[in-house]
Amino acid sequence: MSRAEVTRLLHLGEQGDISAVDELLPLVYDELRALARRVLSNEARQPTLATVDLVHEAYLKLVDQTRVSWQGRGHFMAVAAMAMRRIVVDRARKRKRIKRGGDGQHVQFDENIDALSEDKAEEVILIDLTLHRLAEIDDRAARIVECRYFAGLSVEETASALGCSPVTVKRSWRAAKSWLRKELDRAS
Amino acid sequence: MDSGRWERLQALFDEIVELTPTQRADALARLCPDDDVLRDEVAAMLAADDADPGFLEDSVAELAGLDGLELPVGASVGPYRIIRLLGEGGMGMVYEAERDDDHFQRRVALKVIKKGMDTRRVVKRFRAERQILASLAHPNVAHLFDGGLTDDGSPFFAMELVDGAPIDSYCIDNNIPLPRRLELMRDVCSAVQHAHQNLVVHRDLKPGNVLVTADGTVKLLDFGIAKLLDESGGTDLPATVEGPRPMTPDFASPEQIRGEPLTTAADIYSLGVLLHVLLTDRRPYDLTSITSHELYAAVEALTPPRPSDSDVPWASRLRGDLDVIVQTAMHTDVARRYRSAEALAHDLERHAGGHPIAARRDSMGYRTSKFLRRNRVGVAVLAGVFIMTLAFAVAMGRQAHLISHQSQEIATERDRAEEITGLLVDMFDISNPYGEHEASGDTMMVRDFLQLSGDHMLEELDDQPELRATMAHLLGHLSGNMGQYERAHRLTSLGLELRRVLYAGDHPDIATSLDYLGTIHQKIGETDEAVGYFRESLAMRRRLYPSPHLLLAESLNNMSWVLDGTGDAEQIVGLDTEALAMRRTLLGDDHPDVAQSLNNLAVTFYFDGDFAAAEPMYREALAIRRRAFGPDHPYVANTINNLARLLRDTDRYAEADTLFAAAIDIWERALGVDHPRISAGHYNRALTAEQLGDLPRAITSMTRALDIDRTSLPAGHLYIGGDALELGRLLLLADRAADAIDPLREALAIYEAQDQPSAEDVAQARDLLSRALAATEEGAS
Repeated sequence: MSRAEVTRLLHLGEQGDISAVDELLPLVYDELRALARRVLSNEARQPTLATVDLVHEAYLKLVDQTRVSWQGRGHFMAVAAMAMRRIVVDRARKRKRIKRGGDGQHVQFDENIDALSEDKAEEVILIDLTLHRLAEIDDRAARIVECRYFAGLSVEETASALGCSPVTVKRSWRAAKSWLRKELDRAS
Repeated sequence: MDSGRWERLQALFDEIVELTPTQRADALARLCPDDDVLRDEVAAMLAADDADPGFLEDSVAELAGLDGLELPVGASVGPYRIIRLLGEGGMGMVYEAERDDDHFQRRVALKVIKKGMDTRRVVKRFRAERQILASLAHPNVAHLFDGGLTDDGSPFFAMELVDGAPIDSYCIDNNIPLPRRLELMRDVCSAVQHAHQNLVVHRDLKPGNVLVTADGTVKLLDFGIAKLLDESGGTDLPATVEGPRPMTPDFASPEQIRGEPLTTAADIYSLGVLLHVLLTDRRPYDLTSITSHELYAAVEALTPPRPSDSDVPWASRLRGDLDVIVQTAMHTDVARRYRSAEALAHDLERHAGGHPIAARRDSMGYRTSKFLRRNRVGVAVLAGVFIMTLAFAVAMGRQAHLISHQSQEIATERDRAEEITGLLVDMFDISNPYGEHEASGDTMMVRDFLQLSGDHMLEELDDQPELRATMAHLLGHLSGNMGQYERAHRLTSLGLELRRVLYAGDHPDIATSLDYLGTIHQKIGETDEAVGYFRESLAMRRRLYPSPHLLLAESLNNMSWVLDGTGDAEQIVGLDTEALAMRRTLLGDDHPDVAQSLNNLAVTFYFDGDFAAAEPMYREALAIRRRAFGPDHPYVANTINNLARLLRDTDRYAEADTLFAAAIDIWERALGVDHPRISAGHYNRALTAEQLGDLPRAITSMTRALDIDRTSLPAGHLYIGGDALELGRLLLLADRAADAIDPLREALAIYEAQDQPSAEDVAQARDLLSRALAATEEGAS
């Protein structure tokens, strides 16, 4: 996959081309997965890389930074957060299947699957589902949670990813967290 | 729930969540009296917020099986115990930690490298930071206590825990008055000066790295990307850091944005930005929204904005000195910045004491205005003179236009008004590097005036296109001479546009507009555009002036100027020869413009190897310039230097030596002994002295050239390598092999570190070095 391609899609996305985001997402998803796999296989005993580092590393690898604005960087982070959410949720689902003796196919990425406890996997899946509901009422709040929680972006990075102010991010983040907590409590 | 309801829910939650538990119930009932369901929802969210404040705060990293990154509270790192996570940098995590042994209790900031990020590069940078900090001991630099390895082998170090706020928010939040802000800035300068003296460039100075504690002490943090200046000593650090450059564009110097080697001057620039922030509560530029590609182009053309243009209540107190201090620190030209953080601090101190600042030392206008300001009248007088002159020009012009050409007298008055404006244009020409045109008080006032009244005046002339075009052109020229190229371009283009409508076909004014547009493009480095405008202007003037004409000569000269360096010597010689002939015819043989043409031609011939043609031209140009400018003008020195080089190249060393000495003497008096321009003089003189058999003097001169280049050029510059190599060679010739080793090593290192090292240079440096080493061994044995 060429950097030029990702950079071009980023430009289109910045200009409001939604289909560019659809094309970009799988590229970023694959890269993030590959990076995660590499980290986990190299350091099977001590997997030590935060999602946010993966996102940053993917950015350095996929994007020609001399040709992308700081807004473009934010845009990439937003897409990467979406991808990271999918990766994490997929992994949580897989974790549950393994527990049930399901179809856990053996891939390198899963060698370390024990690091994810079943309870946590359950919680991630629930958060993901509840987040879909939040997105219907307040899409931006859901995106903020995606950036903060799944990609590990800072408040400032999240603000730049979603094109809003840090104050808005902080406000919305706190309300969305409390609402999610409340919804999860009610479900359990 | 629909989104309207969600908005209301969120607004309520926002409003109430900051209240105490008892206030909450009241507020909830008061703000939402009519909707039980909504009230319950808010209450449940508040309860959730209370019960589980850390919910989702740990990002999902751990859940993805990617955990192990963060050390848990209570974990031991060496003699320290983790209390909490303070923050996360690019390469490490920073914790608050406690050292708890029998003797004392101390809280520290513990920096631990991230696992998984511990690539060789990161570990190197991390170690470098530790080494840097260890070399610094200053009350305004966060102190390093100790360092070591964690149980799993990651490097860590413990440093002073600074409980403070970033300097910008400290000033805003505490309403710090201007004089105190300047004091804080002097403390910052003092810390940076200390770092520089220890051969450390910080490279990422910004408010987040400059904290102020509750008692008002400044602390400089994070030498994470600092670079040791001393290449040989900084063994842990690569000369260039590969990979992305961590930096903060709003605070980064143009050379840093361009990715060039950095010297202490880069920090001086960042200090200028920081000062701007403290003076105005805002950053001078917002560079976050443009691509780095545009960034590269933009930094070339930036003129640092003046703090006094901001809207802080004390903006008027920033006009003058503080404007100049910020602009000097932030000068795009490294050579024109403050030489050191200490020099910047001194000027802040002088300003505080009401003394003239050094940045404006050379400006007569400044001294006058400094004097006048004490009397509170100077500002108005100087600005008034200028405004009146322009208004006069406009009024006279308008009258002349109304009466058309009936009255010769009024037309003459109009010409005179334009002439006065033209004089002002020249008066504020900052493009002349030898003039006294530092951003002086009067220049500033004119600039103020231009921005305030220039556009207004042009609007008023809406029904007078001819005069409007003239004023647009003059104002454009004036802006250009003051370095405001963007504005100059806009106004000059407007003039051209109006003139093209006014006059069908060729017209002298159109040619003038084209010519000046070419000049603007040339000045901002857009050579192709410049060539286009100059070519069009030249063609038009050829049609307009079939016989010799000074404007035609100017076009020819500009054309050769813009083509210089393209290697088309034949075309350049053609243009210059034609211009020279015209100027001789029209101005006589003894005019400075004739000297300019002669000098240009001679330079072209010299580089073409035609010394016989070049020599008489240099001599004639020199004679003219001596008469026109006086014997001590820098222009005279330039021609002397050119001639001396030619003499040296044709083996006439005695005369060359005298002339080099004369040029150096003039430069030193006009520009100061350390001016970068002068190093070439010393270099040349050293090689001439060698030819004359005077090795000791050759060595002195070469040492001088090396010293100047070291202070004025970025570390690792090829010129420094050249100076060092020649110095080493001369020392070797003088049987001082032991002294030759260091400079030769330096030269070799610089040659080898070039992007495309010259095999010949490297081989020569190696050869000389091995001879020096061999000679020392012989001597020892």
